[in-house]
Amino acid sequence: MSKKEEIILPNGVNKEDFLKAISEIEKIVGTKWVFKTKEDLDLYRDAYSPYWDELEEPIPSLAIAPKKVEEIQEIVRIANKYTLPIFPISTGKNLGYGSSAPNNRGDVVIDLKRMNKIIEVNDKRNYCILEPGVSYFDLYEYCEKNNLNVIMDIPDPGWGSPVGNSLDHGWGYTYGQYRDHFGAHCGMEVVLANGEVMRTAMGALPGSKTFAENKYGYGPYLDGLFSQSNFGIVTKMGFWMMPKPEHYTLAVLTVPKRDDLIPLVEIMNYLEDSSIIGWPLYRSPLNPEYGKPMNPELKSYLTSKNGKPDIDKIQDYAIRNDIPYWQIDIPVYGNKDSVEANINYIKQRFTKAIDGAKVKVIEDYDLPLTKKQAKSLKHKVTLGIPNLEIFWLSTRGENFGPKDGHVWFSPIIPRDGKELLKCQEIYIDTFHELGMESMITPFSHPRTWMYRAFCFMIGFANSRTDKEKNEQMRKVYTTMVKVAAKHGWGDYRAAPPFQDAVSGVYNFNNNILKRFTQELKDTIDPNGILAPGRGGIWPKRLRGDKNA
Amino acid sequence: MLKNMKTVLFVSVLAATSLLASNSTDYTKGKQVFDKWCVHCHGIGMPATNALRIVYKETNISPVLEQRKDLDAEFVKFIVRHGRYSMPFFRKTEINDEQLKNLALYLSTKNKK
Repeated sequence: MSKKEEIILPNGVNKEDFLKAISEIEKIVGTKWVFKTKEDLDLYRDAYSPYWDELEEPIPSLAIAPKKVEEIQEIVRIANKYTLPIFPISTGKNLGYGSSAPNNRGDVVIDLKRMNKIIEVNDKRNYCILEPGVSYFDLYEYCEKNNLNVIMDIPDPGWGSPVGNSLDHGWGYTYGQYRDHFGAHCGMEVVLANGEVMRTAMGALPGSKTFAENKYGYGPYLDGLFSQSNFGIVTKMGFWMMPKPEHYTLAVLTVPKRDDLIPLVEIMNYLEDSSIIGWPLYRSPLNPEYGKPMNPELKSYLTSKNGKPDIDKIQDYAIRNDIPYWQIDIPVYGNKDSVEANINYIKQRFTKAIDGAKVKVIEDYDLPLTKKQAKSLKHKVTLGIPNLEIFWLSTRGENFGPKDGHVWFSPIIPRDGKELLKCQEIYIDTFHELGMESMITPFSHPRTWMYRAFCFMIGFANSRTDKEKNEQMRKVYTTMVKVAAKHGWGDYRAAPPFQDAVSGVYNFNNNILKRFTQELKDTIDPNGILAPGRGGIWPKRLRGDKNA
Repeated sequence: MLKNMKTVLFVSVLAATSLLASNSTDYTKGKQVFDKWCVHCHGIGMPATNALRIVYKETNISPVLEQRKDLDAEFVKFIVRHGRYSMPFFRKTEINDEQLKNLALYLSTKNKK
């Protein structure tokens, strides 16, 4: 906030109306749950904001924490009366993609953390129904305390919200059908921009007994409208859960050559799409452990061919030092016999097709796990055990200074080895053209949560002290969006400052997708009060340049 | 006079006992806050502990928060509300002021008892 700025106002609202609105809202939720001091509002900044301390940084003018759906309905009615832009968050932990901050400076945050009821968990029909403030930690604790035989597919940070994560198209770590968190949801309750409550699919049938079991009910499927968008405030969602397996085995596949990735991916796709394996974690052992320096000889080969990597020398280094080029961790679920049979089949498939391929079992457990087993599990997320261990990637390493956070650039590319290698090349070229050290190497791996595509991510560091560094990062990010789009790759998710750029490249047929969603926006939310700009969708009154 | 003094003494002891009991309850509540919000990064072997191990490697300061003897209550409160490097700050709907006070009490007194 600039020193001259006494109070942040919502976009398009004068101070007098704003104060009236606050007074009316306080009557609905109680003064305790309306946050309006600078000290309290600073807690709604994005700790990983690429605009930290700049005038564009999205700091809210007000934050409201309702407890009930009826309170949200009233808030929405007041927002319409004063044209107050309101921005809902669930647990507010979408770090790297916006955290608990709104899209725009001055938007009013509706903090749904207090709406934290676990409405139902059914471990016979394998589903749950949750409010937005429930975290993965909360749900796990509930299931374990009640000895329920189900697991929720989870993302890396366990303090996130199943509702919020799925609405931002988050992904997880078990079987493909559960890893797609939005795809694994079933049924929604939404407060619309006019304050009415709508239930989708089976929920639209009063007294329905299958809210969280049958996705479609009758008629058009509307749920997709409420993800990465601004058409309503989701207050309940159902999710399909996975029954706990009887047995779990983690195998590790290694292959010696870079090009082995091509047949490897084809076989892995077959195994995954046949539900023989869970989430395959692709890595390259050529990468040093986090925070450790890269071997100097290997590092020298990253720029030894006219400033670009020398692939032959890198490959030769890997062979000489007996370092596999790729390593894939492969979890297998089932009963003991079926898991053993599948592991043998996996070994056979890879060793037959790829010279030098090796498959080794490193974890083999009956469930339930003992506490010791659960604690030492290599990938806790593959059995739905929430944690925050992923934050190793932003913490201080022996070779790195502390980071203030990260911002994800997350383009989707085909699940194809050749395409991944091409993508490495294009990114390396782009960094080269920008005159920067490349964050991508010829052994950078794909992310594999999306079970029908790869994501080839870059985690850009942001700063809370160095504005120039943030400006540079924003430039590189937006360049990358354009470069990726030119090659047919588009981001699946983005932090608010980049949502216009990302949605802007989804522009087939003169931006028909954007024009269609805008037409919907103007009809459903004529005052443009709900999360303006979220997902690149702006209401008429605020389009201006941002629609360019 | 003696009777009055005894009464005063009795009331004082009662108040001190009640204060101790209240502190003890707050301390336990503080540990609960730690277990809900902090231990996932600041527990043994967790990312923040590993990072602090590098920060404190030349000192006798423990990287494990629950083993620290030098933590000040106000410092704990400040870090929770302002964050530090990649640690984000926490909203009052996550850790309210009362819970934060208890957390600070827990971490600042745990190893001074």
